[in-house]
Amino acid sequence: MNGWLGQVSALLWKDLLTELRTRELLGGMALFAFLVLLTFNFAFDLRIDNVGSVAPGILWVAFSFAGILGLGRSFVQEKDRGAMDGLLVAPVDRAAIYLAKFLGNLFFMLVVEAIALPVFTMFFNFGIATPALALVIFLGTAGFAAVGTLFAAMAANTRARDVMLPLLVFPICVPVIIASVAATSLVIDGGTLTNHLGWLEMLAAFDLIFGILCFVVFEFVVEE
Amino acid sequence: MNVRTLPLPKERQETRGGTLDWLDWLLAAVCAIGFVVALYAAFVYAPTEAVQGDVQRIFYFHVSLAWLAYLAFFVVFLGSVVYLWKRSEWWDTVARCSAEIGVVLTTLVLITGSLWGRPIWGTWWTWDARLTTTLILWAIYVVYLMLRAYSSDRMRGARYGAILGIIGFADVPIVQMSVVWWRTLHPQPVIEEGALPPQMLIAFMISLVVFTVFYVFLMRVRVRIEWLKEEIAQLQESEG
Amino acid sequence: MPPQNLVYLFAAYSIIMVVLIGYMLFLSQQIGDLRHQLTALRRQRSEGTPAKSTRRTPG
Repeated sequence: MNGWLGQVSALLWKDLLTELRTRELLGGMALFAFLVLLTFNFAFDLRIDNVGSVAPGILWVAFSFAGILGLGRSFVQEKDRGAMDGLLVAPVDRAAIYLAKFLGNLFFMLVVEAIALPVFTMFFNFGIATPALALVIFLGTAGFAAVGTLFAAMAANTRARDVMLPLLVFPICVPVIIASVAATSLVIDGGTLTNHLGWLEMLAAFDLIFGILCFVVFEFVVEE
Repeated sequence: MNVRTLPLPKERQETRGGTLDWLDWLLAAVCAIGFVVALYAAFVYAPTEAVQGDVQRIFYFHVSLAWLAYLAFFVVFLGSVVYLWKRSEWWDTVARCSAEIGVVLTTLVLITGSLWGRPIWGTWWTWDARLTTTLILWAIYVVYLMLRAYSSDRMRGARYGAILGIIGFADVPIVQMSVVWWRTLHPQPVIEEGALPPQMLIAFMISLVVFTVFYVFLMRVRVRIEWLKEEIAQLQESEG
Repeated sequence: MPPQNLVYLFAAYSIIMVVLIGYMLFLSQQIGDLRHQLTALRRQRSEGTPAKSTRRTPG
């Protein structure tokens, strides 16, 4: 068991170090989230009477679009540099690869979301950060990343990979988006956690079910 | 001296994807008759609904198409699971063909649902739980077809398709749940659906049975096409 | 029950018929084309001529 976890942390650490050195992925994702929020300002022509009503949607569009960007890169780097085969030939458990990639993607998305929140507050003059919101964002991002990591590996081996990834992820992640937006909306309206337990339970259930499913199925993606 | 002058072994000369056989023609005949009967049942035999009027008759084919679409996607799921387990090309072909037919049927469900909704609800589209879930379902399997088309080789396409076939199908009940919860937050038009009067039930069952036979017929034809393609590909490869 | 609604009823059933019949025609055309291609390939093969693949099969 220790050996397996060791593999996971080694792979994860490798990805994190690579990113730390180049910072191209995080920088790109954060900038993209920033631009999405910026575009929403223009899209609504500054005519939002009730920011609270559109805030959840704007946030999750920004999060998911930036997230797709990051997911798209998570396997492409390996594929392009031919490191993918090296990874698969090494005695590494496939599931460990999935877990490491998932954790890496989750981490990058959370960092970008943490950056995007104050940007949102600034642009829309609307403060929303609370611990309850953090929980919602975490659960939602985890579900998105679980599904996205699996499909990113698949899309990397497909023609038109940049197109296939969002097409694969968004329909499957509809429950995540619905539940995250609904829960975010309830948090913003000032409910306590118990008020929107239903949506949180749905998010947690999705994360659990699809986390396990994607984890199990991943080896079929990378078997060659 | 050309090795290719050797004649093909006898078995290979009989293609699995040949002409339609007697069962196909029988199914086609049953469908043709069945559709006439189903149309009669839907338009004449079934009584006119009191509140919605004759427009309600869309229900018989609309719901039958929906049930068959769900069946088709279940077959995709089944085929995907068995393919990953046994690596049988037959199951992969069944999955792929069923997905295509399912998309055609689901497209019709959405169109007829919209045409039904317009006079009843006054709008072409509404985020009714069932319509929304059907739309997501449609999107998932259209992406499935795209994934198969964009895969670089056959085996990978089969594998990836199988994964999506499983994940997509597992997702559907969750999508359904989330959409239903989502919609109960907002007022929505309701189509009354109490128990069906017996004549309506019979009309519905007739059209359901006919569509089921039709699905089987379409599957046989569509799978046959895949076998033809496979045989052609093998012939071309062996000469390449 | 305003009569205008019947337009939707007939439109729905017509579209169903058109789409399903259209799909079947599409399938039968595919079968025809593929069988034609198959026969041509087989003939070339049994005649011993190197086959020029005139058409790659789709998908």
